[in-house]
Amino acid sequence: MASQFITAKKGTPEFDQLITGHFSETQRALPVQNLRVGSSDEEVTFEIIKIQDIKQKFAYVGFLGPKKILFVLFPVFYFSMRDWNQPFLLSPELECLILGLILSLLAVQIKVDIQDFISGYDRIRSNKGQKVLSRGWKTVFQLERDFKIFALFSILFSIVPLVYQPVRVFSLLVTLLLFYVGYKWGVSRRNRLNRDLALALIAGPCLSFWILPQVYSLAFGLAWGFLIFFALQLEHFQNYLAQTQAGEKNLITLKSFDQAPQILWAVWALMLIVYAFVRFLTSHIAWWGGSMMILIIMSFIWRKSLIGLKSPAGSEIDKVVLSGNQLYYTFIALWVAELIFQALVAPFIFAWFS
Amino acid sequence: MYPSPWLDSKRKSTQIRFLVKNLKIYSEQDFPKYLPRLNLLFDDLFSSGKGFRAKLVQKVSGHLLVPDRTQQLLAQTVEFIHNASLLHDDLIDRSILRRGKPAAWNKYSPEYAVLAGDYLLARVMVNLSTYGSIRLVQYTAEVISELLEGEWLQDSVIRDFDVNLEKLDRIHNLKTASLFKWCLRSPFYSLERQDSALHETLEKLGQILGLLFQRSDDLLDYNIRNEEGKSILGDLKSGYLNSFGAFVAQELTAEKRSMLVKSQTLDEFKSHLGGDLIFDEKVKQFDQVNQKQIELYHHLLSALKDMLKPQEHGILKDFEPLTEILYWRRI
Repeated sequence: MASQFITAKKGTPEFDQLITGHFSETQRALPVQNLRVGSSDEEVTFEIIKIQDIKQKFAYVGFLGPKKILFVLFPVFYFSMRDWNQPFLLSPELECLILGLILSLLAVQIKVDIQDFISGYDRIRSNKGQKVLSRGWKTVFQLERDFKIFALFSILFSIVPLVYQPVRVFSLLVTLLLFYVGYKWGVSRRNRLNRDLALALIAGPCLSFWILPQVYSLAFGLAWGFLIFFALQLEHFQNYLAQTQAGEKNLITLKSFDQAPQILWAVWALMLIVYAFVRFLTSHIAWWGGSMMILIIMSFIWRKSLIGLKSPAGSEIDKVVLSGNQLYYTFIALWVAELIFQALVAPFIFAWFS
Repeated sequence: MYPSPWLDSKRKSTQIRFLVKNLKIYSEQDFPKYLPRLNLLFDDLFSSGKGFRAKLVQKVSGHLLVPDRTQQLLAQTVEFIHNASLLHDDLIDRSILRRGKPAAWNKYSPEYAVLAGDYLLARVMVNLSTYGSIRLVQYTAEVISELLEGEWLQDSVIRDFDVNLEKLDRIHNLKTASLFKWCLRSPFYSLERQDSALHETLEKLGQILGLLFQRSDDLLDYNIRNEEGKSILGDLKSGYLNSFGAFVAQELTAEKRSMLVKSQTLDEFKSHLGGDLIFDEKVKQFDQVNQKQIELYHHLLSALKDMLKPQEHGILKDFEPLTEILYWRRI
């Protein structure tokens, strides 16, 4: 069956109808090509596809993948396990806080997806999430509606923790400021470094302080923020070719492909140093030494494949990024194991010996 | 079937002889007689090519009423760039044959092949800059740069049998499509027509033509529509998984993929893939993917109509059959 294409100029009613999905009940308009990107007369060519021809999946799985959900849920887990005996753990405060965070994450992810879809940014990157919109699983109109619902409920659920400890308002204000500075400024300048820094600070110190408003939380948040920053740089690294061709600026594309692995490695190494310092203050020395040893060995194995990369165009880069992700998950798994041991196993052992 | 103004076999040899003669000398300084081997090397290289890109430039130029002398310059430019890339490419790949004859580096010497390629690119710049359109010179230099970037990236994925189609497309967009884009855009630049909407549409059209040409060329490797008699599995045996190879391998397990890329014959390849029927199904699926590009091309052609003057609409008629010629190889 022949494909149907429509080209519309941005800003026209026809374009708005197509991009939002309002133009038809039975069809989807999927952008396939942008002309004169960034100019006042930018045009987008859409392929018109029948909804029945689209293999739909549950769209929200893409927004809440394991990597993303760990961004917000691991800090909650960390503080819950660390303060195992605190009333905080079983209080409505924690339950509302978790629900509020998940819904906020969902709302932010949806908004980012909509913006990337409309700007055409999601077509530059080969591995940009589930591409819910560009695959036609949902329309902009539907996701805008979902965004409003999730944002509203995330605000409602966030009121409870705020009432419990009003000092959390500082975290909220800084987060809003970072969103403004990092996201808006970053998008308009095609400079993702600001956006990455803002995201790392939001998901790191701001989120930690929001969960447990104490000074110590900031130290944990700093280490966690570094890890988030590394995960974002890893994603940029995978898209190095596409991003440099599109002229996108971020920390990884600042340097040539031969030097980019060094930058990625430096981010990881710096994160490990911050983590080692933060954990040294709170971990048992044996656990600290053991986990650091495992991480250092794994890091150097990964470094070997990272530094030996030959091309941004081949499949090797995907394999190195996969190993980097495995390192990221191992790092978290070791931390989780330590927390469970400290909170649940160690007290029994201690009691048995005494 | 189109009555092709492009590759009429009866007139082909006469046209090529005329084209070669016409292309070789634009300026009196082109190809000085005192350089040993250079003229022989040039004649060998150009005598067996189809000159398709030069014809494409001349078709577009004709409708725009570009003066004959300028048409000659543009045709020479595109053939010189293309052949310079072939000279270097053959040496990089250590290909012994080019169009069924010994490759230049093999027949003369690697040194002469490198120098001849450089010389062709230098003549391009000399002649174009003499013509005087700074935008045309700049654009041509950009295209040469893209072509080299494509070559460079392609070389970096040799022996990478897990490379995916999306990444290969990026390489082919630089390596193959850049010259097709040049063929469509340069006649407009030669007349100082720099309308950005027009050029971006031509750019997209050239990109699709380049992609289709490359993919069709890659299919020849698997003896699909291989009227030219190109050697079978040549790319794969030299360590390069081409676009069709990447397409069929994308859903295979690592083990099956590893077996597939070690195939020495097409029958072996088909057998590793699961038999003739599966192979034919994959070809059909690949054609369907490319058919969508062809439909997008025709959609863009309709947009191009509004950007041309009425007397230039003949360009559209000449552009119509290009996808048939370049992808389906129907002349």
